[in-house]
Amino acid sequence: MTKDLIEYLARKVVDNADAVSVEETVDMYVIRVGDGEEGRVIGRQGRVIQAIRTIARAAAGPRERVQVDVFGASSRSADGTESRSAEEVDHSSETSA
Amino acid sequence: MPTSSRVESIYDRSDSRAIRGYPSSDTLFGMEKNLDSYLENLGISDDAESKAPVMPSSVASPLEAAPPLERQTTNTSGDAGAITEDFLSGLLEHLGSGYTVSAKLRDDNVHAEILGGDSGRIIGREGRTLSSIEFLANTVLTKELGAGAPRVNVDAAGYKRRHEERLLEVARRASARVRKSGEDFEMEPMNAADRRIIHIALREDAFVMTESVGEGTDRRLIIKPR
Repeated sequence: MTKDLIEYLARKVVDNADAVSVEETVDMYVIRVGDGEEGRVIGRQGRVIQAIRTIARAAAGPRERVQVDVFGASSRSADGTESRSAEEVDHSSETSA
Repeated sequence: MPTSSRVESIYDRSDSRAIRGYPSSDTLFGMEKNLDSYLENLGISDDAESKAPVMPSSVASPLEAAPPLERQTTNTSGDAGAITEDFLSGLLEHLGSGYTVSAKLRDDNVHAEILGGDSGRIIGREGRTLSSIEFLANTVLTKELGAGAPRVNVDAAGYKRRHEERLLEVARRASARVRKSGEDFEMEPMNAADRRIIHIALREDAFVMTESVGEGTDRRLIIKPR
């Protein structure tokens, strides 16, 4: 349910909805998007991904930990080192909000 | 030289997860209680209301000024309402059952209201889930219609409307207090949207003016004699 919700929201904010997929790993949801569309899902100052996280947490309930991150098609790698993380921009947006 | 008086808190801070300047309770009822204690700190109780100075009629309420929803609905940008309604109903399907949503264009803005279902889940702590929903509704509408897209306002079970009414009440009472005492009154920190509501409410006030001080989450309004 939470996974479907995240996928729904991610598809709504990108241009290429068909390229969006969400994978549920042990400890987080990973959004994969088409080439060059990471920025759409992350948003200025990480505000879009932060809003997706907030709504995903509402769907999951208070006890479940929900982590969501975004990977672009061009930056996929096995160890994730090239992935663009939205975590850092998040913190700045939280403190300045 | 007027002195500043500062009220400890408009909201209950007993919840450690609460962000400064926001109501910590998920429910409006919690907010009401805290607001009452805030108003008490202002030296104004509901009982004393009748004895309080007459409110300047210039304290504008955007709510009172707003005409009924139905009459203002237009078809010229019906798209915006339809896109918003479609986005929200799709979202709500993932958040449980029993929700209904309507979105209408009024005064060049889309006003959406979510009713039924578990409204607490939609609103979230300090209204943060509702804010996130509204933010994404705006993101989606701007993506679909371009930069000139109307703004979307999303309310759930009247939460935002009541919150705004509360802020207007705080503004009225702070104005009355400053007018009576002639001294600055420093409000507690609030987010930009809340500060804006109070600032606009007192903009035309003949006796007081507002000023923002502080940075970030500590930013707050000072009501001063004009």
